[in-house]
Amino acid sequence: MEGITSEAFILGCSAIGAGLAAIAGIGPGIGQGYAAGKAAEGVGRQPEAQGDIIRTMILGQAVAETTGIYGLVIAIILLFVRPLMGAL
Amino acid sequence: MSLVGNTQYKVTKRVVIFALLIIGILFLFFPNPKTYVNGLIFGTIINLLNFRLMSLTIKKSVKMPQSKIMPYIIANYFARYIIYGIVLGIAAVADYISLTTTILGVFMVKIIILSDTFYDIILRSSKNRKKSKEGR
Repeated sequence: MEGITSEAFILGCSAIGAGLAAIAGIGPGIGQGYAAGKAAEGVGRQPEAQGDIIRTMILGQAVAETTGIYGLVIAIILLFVRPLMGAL
Repeated sequence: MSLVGNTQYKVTKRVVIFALLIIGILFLFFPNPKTYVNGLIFGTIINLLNFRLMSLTIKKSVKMPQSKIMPYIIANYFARYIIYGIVLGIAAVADYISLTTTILGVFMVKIIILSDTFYDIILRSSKNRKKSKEGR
């Protein structure tokens, strides 16, 4: 049985790393769902504060969403830019 | 304009101004800034459109029954996540778009929202300084 080349090994490990990094995108989605559920509860309890609640939630969720994109950026860099290939 | 619409307008306006400022800096300091500018415009536009999509999703979700909110929000979040993935993939593959500035453009709304707090603190402290000078 032939051994694998260093390039193939690095490419394979990069793909595994990209997959692991993309998992980071799951967390913010679940968090956003919880936040929206609690906001709906708040609006139901105090309908006059709807504008304030939605405004705060939009700003909070815009910031929370970017934490998932960090993982996506790492995955894209590992897959397309292949920075580890330069180490060979 | 409503409170939510006003906030959206304020954030969008600041993002556009900040992006134009960065484009100006790119034109000043880089000999051939076209790829960087393309990337920044591409990332910023997608980020603003996703911000708008998110606010529409949230406005709709608040009026939904409790059991349907979480799946709806998560589905919409993954739709936006896939859009970001496609955008970053295109920026990585295409040689006429810079990946670095596309990433900067994608984070533009976050930068503006976080810097808004510091901007307000600086504005408030400068107003207080003016008031204390007038008081003397």
